[in-house]
Order: sequence, then structure tokens, then C-alpha cells
Amino acid sequence: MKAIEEIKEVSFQNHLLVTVVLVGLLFAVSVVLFGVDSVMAGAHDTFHDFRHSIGMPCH
Amino acid sequence: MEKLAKGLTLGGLSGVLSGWLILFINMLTGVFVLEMSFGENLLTFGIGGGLFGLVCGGLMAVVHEKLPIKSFPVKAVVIFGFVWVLFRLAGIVLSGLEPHRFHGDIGQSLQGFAFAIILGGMFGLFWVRGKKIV
Repeated sequence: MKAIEEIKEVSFQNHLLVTVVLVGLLFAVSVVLFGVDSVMAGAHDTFHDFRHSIGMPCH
Repeated sequence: MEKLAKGLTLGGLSGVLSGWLILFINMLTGVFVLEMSFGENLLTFGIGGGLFGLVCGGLMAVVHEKLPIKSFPVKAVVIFGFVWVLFRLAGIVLSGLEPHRFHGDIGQSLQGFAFAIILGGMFGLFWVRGKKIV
């Protein structure tokens, strides 16, 4: 019983880690793709050409 | 966890390569007139493509077994294309909210979708080839 609980706990931690990693990456790529200067100063200008080249809307 | 690490590694790698490829494709098509120097673009396209590849690769590692498609590269193309479409839809929402700041362009969108398809195909081939080597 204890072993099953430990496995469940490890599995939960793994799922949590995967979720945190994916959400963090999703946030980072959103900053780049939409040029969110309020999160990262200069994000808009730095990735301006990349954003246009992959079809994301920009000014 | 191993699959996530593999997905992130191959996603990042194929993302950087696809980012550079789309830089050269854009230079050929001229869909968008690049404003930065080649060296700066090489860096930003590598980082941007790598980040996009990381997200899609990580997602692929988590969901690929649940997809009702047999071929892994086809699965990757579908997922990568789907993620790009989601971001594009978010872009359309932003265009609606701030029309003076965000404008879409059909040529650039087609090129961007091609980027996602190329990236997905590259990721799928890397994954299958890696499996054969291991």
C-alpha cells in the first residue's frame, strides 16, 4: 500500500513538473511571438523580423 | 520524463534549424522585407524557432500516444500545425483588440504555416531516426 502511494506521489510530481515546464515555455514563446514588451523589455523590436516571417500579426 | 526530455531536445534542435530555414526562405520570397542585419536575424530566428520547437516538442512528447494517427512524422506535422494555428487565432483576437498595433498578412501567414509544417516534419523525422539509432 505504501509502495503504491509512493508511486502515485512520484507520478503526480512528474505530471506537475511536465505541466510547469510546458506552461513556462508557452509563456516564453507567447512573449516572443506577440512582442510583449511589458514582460521582456525590447521583445517587440528584437523578434520583429521573426514574428513577421512566421505570420504573426504585428504593426 | 525521458520522452519529455527527448521531445524538448529534438523540438529545440529542429526549431533552431527551421528558424534559420525560414529566414533563408523569407530572403528568397521577400514576403517580409527584413529590417535587421543578417547576423542579428540569425540569432533571433534561432532563438524564436528554438522556443517554438521546444513548446511543440514538449507537447508532442505528452500527447503523441493519444493521437489516432499511425505515422509519427504525420502526427508531428498535425500537432505543430495545430499549435501555429492556435497562436495565429490568438493573433487575430489581438488584432481585434488593438487594431492599430496588430495587423495580419496573408503571405506572411502562409509562410508561417509552412514554417510549422517544415518544423513538424523535421521533428518527426528526427524522432523516428533517433529511435532507429537507439
